[in-house]
Amino acid sequence: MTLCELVDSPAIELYFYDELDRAERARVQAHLTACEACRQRIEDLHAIRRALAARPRVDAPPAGDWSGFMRRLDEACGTTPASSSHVASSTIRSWRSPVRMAVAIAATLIVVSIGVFLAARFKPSTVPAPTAQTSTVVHAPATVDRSNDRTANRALAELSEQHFERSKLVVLGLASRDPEHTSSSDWEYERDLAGSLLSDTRLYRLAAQDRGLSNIAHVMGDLETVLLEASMSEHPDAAALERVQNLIRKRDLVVKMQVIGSAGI
Amino acid sequence: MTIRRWVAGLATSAMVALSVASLAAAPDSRRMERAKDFIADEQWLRAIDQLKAAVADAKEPNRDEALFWLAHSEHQAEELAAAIDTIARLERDYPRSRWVRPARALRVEIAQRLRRDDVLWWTAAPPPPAAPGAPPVPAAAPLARTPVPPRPPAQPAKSPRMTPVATPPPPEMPAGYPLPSPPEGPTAWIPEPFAPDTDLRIQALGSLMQAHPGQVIPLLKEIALDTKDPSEARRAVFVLAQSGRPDARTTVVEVAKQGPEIVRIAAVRELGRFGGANAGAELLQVYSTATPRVKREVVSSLAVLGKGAETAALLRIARTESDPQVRNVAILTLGRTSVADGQLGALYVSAPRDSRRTVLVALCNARDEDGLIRIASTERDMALRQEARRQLRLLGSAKALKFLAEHKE
Repeated sequence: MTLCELVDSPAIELYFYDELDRAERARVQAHLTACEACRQRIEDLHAIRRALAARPRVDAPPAGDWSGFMRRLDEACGTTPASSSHVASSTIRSWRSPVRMAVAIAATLIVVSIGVFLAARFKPSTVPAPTAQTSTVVHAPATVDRSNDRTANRALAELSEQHFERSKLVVLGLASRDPEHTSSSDWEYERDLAGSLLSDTRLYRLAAQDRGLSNIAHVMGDLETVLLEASMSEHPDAAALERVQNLIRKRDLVVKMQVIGSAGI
Repeated sequence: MTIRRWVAGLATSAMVALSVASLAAAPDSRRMERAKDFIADEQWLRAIDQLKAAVADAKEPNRDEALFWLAHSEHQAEELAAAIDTIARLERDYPRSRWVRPARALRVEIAQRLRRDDVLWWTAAPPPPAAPGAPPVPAAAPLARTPVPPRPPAQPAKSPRMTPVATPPPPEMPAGYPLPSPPEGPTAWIPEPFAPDTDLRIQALGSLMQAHPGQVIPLLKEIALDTKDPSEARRAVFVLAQSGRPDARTTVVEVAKQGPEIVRIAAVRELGRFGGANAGAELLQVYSTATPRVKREVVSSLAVLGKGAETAALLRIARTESDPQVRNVAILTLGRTSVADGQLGALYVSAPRDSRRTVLVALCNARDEDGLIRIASTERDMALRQEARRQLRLLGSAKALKFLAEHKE
């Protein structure tokens, strides 16, 4: 809850950009001497301006036109620009304040960097040679090879990304709980959430397998195993939660979901 | 004497209660813990050893769970026949276990792998329970230890055992499609009586889609339209949409027109997501009879498609839709699509006042600085003019900032 009514009003922003008439400007200036929240807001705007000015390597295109960047990213990801670029760029355009824009730039850089780094690090272990001893079975399509159906593959990849985002909340919830201090009701809650995601996970894994999207199928398989273990466990004890956490850790599930998500920006 | 009886009764009750409690919430044995460690490490053969020992141990408190993970590990280790045997044993020995459900899903997957369409059909549309006095079921074929080669579907002799028994009665099968082969021995895979849940049926139908679309599509449509669980309906629609088959797509359109609202929304979303040459026209068909919520979803899906024809459709919706919420969603969506220069400006002029603010936002999203400057210069309504200036400030282009500096209010 904001104590000052002015802090979230356009007046502060207008003041910062020197957009107010003289009387209004004087009123805001007087207010600023007494209101720490509004002073902080002005300071934030200054900080953003300084940060942007001091980072010439953040190659923000003029007027926020990210279409070139998104096109290059699409090309790198092997997708056609039609849907992903316009969705992403429109999302960027729809942000309403310089604060969000700056956060967006920083977040994009961080996510892209982490994604590229993790993808490079993780890729060899994501698709191991299929041996009976150490790999999850990802079967070849049993019926029709639709791997050239790029639109449908891209749609399934986007759907999987959304599913991983939903599931990540559950997986992170399970991974971050303290087994010694998790009540039965909390455990029950996590179990229900995990159970609610199970059928979709299985369906998407099978669809990905069928389409030869082995990376997605593989991570869906890991997620399915974790959700199964979590949702079917009847023992609300520390050992059960530790076992689920162990499974999440050993399968690198959080990292894998992050990488799949990053690849589909 | 009475006291002794009372104490004995109390002790017996306590023992019964303890054993029930231990059965209901028995912690994992050390062996199960080791097995799960191996599963986590994907060391299937070592997991199988541990799990087999657990299953053979009469003192193991979670033998049903051990059987499931054994089947899972055998499947991963490509020991498919062993996995089927294990699943059958789980169903036979622990028919009420919660592990039966995921085990059955695993069986469908193995059946798909081995192209056992008879087993898949048995799951997708199980036969009715045998009537009293009915002749016995033919002897089950022995479970093959090597993958069974795919068998071509038998020609038209429609097997009564393959008639779907779901309630309500199955739809008419369109002519021209081969019928599935009669089952020769799925009882080796599936114990009777067998009552698959809807998710299992959807999974099996998805596996049969490419081989038997004529029978599968009506059954999925029936699930989408009739099930009381929206999640199941959504999954049925997903299987239809992602199949890539034109006839399945037509069915998704029908569901989008006829289903309960929440299912219609799911169908519209899938139509947009999976695209297709006629996706825009199909979505507009749905739009013509849609509720406001479904209309909003159609607008979003048109934006996902994002082609020229779909943009024209969005423009038409933005101009003619009477529901202000739907109209505003269409206007905002236009701002994200490749709408031609000047079209949003023209829309501003013709839009009702309560949508003009939305057009200004769309103009900003479309980076139409000229359109915004024109409105900021000429609009007589001060609130709208201020809004146009605000959008220009957000846009932050050199031209916009120059205009704001030169035309202070």
